[in-house]
Amino acid sequence: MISSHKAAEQHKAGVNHSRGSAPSRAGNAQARRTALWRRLPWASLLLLLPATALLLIFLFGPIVQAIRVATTNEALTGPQAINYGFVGLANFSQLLTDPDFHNALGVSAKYVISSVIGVTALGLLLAYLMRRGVHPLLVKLVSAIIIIAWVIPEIVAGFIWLAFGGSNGTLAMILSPVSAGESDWLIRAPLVLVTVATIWATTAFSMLVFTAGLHGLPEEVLEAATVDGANLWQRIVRIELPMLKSTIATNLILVTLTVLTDFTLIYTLTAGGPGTATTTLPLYVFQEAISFTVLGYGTAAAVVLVAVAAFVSMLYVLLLKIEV
Amino acid sequence: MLAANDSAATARAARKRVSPGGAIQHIALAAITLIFLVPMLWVLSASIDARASFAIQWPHLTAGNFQGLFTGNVLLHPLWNSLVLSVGTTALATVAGSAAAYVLSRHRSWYTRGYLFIILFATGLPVQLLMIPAYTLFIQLNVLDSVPATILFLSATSLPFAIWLLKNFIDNIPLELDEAAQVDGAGAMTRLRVIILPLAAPGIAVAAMFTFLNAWGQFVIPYILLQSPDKLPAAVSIYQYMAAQGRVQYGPLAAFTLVFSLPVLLLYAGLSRFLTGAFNFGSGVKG
Repeated sequence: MISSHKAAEQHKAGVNHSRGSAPSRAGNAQARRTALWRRLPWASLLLLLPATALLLIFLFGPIVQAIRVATTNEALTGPQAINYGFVGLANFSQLLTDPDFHNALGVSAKYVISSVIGVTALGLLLAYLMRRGVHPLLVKLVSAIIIIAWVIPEIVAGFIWLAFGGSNGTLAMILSPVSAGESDWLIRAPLVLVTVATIWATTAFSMLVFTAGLHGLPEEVLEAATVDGANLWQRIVRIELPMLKSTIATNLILVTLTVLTDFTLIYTLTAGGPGTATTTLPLYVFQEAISFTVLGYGTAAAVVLVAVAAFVSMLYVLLLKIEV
Repeated sequence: MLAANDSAATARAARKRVSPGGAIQHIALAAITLIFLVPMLWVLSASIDARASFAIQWPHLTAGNFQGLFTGNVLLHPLWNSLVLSVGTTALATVAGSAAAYVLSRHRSWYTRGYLFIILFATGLPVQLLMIPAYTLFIQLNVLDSVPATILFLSATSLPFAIWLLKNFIDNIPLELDEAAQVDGAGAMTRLRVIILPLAAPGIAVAAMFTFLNAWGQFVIPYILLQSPDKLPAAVSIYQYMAAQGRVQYGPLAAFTLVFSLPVLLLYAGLSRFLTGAFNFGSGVKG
């Protein structure tokens, strides 16, 4: 207990040293940084300008645009593309009673919860399986295969799973001895297949996060637990997982953000179908705004989605407790 | 250095006490790996199969699927478009990001904290959410279907992460070097050129590779912001070939996706040795 406290203190001191934010040094570092710019006070603004302009126009711009368009009845085509008017919160109240929006919320909830649980559990399992007792070359090989599934472009992952699960695909071939009937699993169990494809393409991220997290655990504590007679299960559940708490939380938030806003994989696999079986919120937004051309209404749905994601992202920022 | 020795010793100790559950461990690992591998195998076999279908099969060997890619412009042109978009985005985001990161690391002002807070917040906010509003914005600005405007947009979406990464790299360059150079009469711009850029070069390379990877595989942004067939990047043309279900020729398409994925795999392999610490959330950031 005492030694781990010490280690934490040392760690803190190290962090503070590199960032110059310890109370005793903060004022000092601040003054030193200010002194650096005495001769060219405008240079800092000049250097910040390109990035700031890009962020303002292309990230802040669409956010403002979203709020503006969401309160109009603007359409993509037809007379309402030019002559549209302010409708206040009408689009939002319409969302509340739209069965398709309710469906999208439900599909998204099922998809996000099962994908996040799948990705996290599988990532954690893989990190544990490869932690010790496996030949380093084997670890490299297994990691490479799982990481390839993650780094290939999403459109390629979509193509792979379309072939794998689609009509007369490899999945149907493998399952044919045990399961007759419809050979297109994208029709038979679309949401399940889309979820499995998402887990396939995302697990590597969790695996890498947990591998790093496990690597960072202080070895003395684990050895002490073994000496005290804790078995493997007790060590994992009582000691390691509680110590990985913040790693697990970070992983959950980042995976939730990725999956919540995923568009490409589902769009290439099913385009939200059959019917509305895999229409998650991002696909619903796209359909309303582009395919059904009700721009104002679709944007209102997008604003709801952005608000949900912004909330999750804010949790992430607060969790990291940044010291800048 | 000390930490590296430590972990090597731990690894050696760990290897000595192989757990009795080793067999179960290896079987579980093999099973999971196989499940991950099987869907990929189809692309490999289909790409060299003259009669490829969706089901995996022993291929009727041919190199024709690959040869076909390099005759005519049908598939080479989209790859060229991808390259233009990705290189443009990488150049812009890296230059603008390095300049901003330098100021955010070395100049403390009233806005520094807020600026960094917004940057970190934006790294967690996936941009595909903003595509519909961005689409209407592009119509208003009259830049829909413009490659340069799409590059600007792609750069803006990569900037938060690039700035965050670069700022952390520059933070690790000792302030004393800046001060010594200042005493020698070097101004802020000179110090950026002579000290910061050379010493942050590995960080800049990592940021550039990340930006390139994102831009190269990006589907939604060009799909919505570009329209002319001759401007579309490979990710969008792959989708269009797939969507034209009836006419899809699986063999050539599989070969094309392999060629398209190759730069990503090579870059990631090059990048991976820099990444050992990048996934260490929670333990490193929290003070």
